[in-house]
Amino acid sequence: MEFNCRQKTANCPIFAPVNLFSSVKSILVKDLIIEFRNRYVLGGILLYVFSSVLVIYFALQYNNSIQELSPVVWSVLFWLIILFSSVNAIANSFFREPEGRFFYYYWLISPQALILAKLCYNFIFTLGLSLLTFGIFSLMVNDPVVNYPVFLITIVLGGTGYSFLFTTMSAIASRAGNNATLMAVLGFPLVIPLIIFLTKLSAAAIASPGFTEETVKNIWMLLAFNIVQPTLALILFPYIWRD
Amino acid sequence: MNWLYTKWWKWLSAVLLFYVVIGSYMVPLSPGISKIGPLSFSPDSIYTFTISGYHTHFKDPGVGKIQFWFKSGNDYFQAKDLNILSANTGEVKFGIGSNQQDSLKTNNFDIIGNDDIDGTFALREGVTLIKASKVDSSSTVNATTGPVEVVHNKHQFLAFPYREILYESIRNTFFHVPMWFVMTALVFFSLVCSVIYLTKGNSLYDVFAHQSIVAALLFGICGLATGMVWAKNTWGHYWVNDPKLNGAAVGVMIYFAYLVLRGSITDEIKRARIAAAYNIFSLVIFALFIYIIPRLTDSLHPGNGGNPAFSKYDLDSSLRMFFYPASIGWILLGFWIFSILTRLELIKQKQEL
Repeated sequence: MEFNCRQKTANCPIFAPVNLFSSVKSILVKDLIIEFRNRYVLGGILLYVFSSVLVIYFALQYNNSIQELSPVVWSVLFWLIILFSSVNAIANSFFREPEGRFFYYYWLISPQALILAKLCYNFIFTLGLSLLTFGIFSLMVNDPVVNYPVFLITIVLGGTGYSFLFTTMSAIASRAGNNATLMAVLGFPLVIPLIIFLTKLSAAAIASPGFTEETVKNIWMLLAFNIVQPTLALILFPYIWRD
Repeated sequence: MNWLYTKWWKWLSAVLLFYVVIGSYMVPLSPGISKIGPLSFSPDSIYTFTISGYHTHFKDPGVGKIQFWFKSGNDYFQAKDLNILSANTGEVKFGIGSNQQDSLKTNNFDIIGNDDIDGTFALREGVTLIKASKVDSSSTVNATTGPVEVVHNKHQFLAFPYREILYESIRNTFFHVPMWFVMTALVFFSLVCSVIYLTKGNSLYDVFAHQSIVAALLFGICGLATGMVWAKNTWGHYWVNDPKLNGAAVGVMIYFAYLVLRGSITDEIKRARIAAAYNIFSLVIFALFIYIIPRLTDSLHPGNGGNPAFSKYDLDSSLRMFFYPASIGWILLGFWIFSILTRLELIKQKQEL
């Protein structure tokens, strides 16, 4: 905290914050404003989702009709689209910042504030992305979900897991020369446990109404992953960030 | 630091592994029944069953009384008219009355044999009784149950247990299983080194963390290779969908990614710090993955999903005699390889200065 500038300066675009909560809030607001002003990034990601769904839609055409998807195949395709689009979206969160700006942040805020802000921002973004993907997917392909509460919980937990994991990986990859391939190489082995539980849960949401014991167990597992990941990110980010 | 250069534990590793390699090839498998024919029979007639033994001593002078039983549930039915053909084959006559068929616990009979040299040996669910549709009361065929009296219950020499499916490949226990012990030990050692590096900033611990991952990957690949050969010979395929195999593959992938990450950063201090952070992050997620998921889903491996654990009865005293030295020996060998890699790296760094 000794690095925080404790007074408002004229040329400081961010309201010079002193505590964690307000620094998180100002970084988050800054990121949202940049996202809103650079609408082409947002538009690019939306187009990415839409065209992936379209590719799947056309690939499923066989004998002039759309093939029925089994619950497992449906959820695998759904979570893969979200996986790739969220990797692309989150890769921007650290790569977008110019090299010098991190030095500037370094004087202003604690590393925990920065990573918390990035986690929150990517969480909001991925959640929106997942809901949007679900919308387009159900519109174009089909919507076999019968158990909406379980499915919504799955989307929230899945979006959280993806965003937390890839934010950390993006932070690491951005320090290793802004390499997007590296981010996929680092993140994909770690995303496998998430994918396993997400496909199980969404297949359960398609197959049966109501909460079975298995479903509750899988939800607890995802929650455990989603608690462990940001905790580790908070502990390790100061070491990643420091130059 | 000094322990890298001391010699006694390297000698210990070499001696233990020498003992394990020699022992695992010299110790025979204990007797068993490999085959029986016919595989199924009907009530009310006497059948002649040919029993093929494995490593049995039917012709040996000291073999004593050779007996066979057909076991259903807890009932032992004595087989009659034993005719020994060779050291490993014999014929017995056995039949069951249709009036007895309804009192059986199960239609699958275990075959159990006993003699003074081989001790007790068995084939689980070897023959199946096809029940008659109605009871023939005029039948004279009747199997007798009796108290089982045996002189020697155990094989007289040191031998590894005879298991169906595994057979001679049970020796791979001393090679395949310790590979994963070594990998786990090295990976956790690397985690500790990474934590120490991040708190203390001594670059020696970064070298330790890096080189122990390299050694761990070597053992991970050896573990996959020995496991794949074993799986081909027992389960029928080189790769099966099993949580432990998938976990192992993910683990190896994570550590290759670790090496790629190290390769892509040129600044030494930055590389050390970021690699340490990734090492800690990935290992915690991976540990969560590998220790929890196999417990939630079925595995073909012993000890998971209803399969009996090795330690329950498979790992008997003869296996233990070699398994524990093998584990210690391989772990020491892993750290030996790690110490050589580390010393090489330290010399390289010295030369660059």
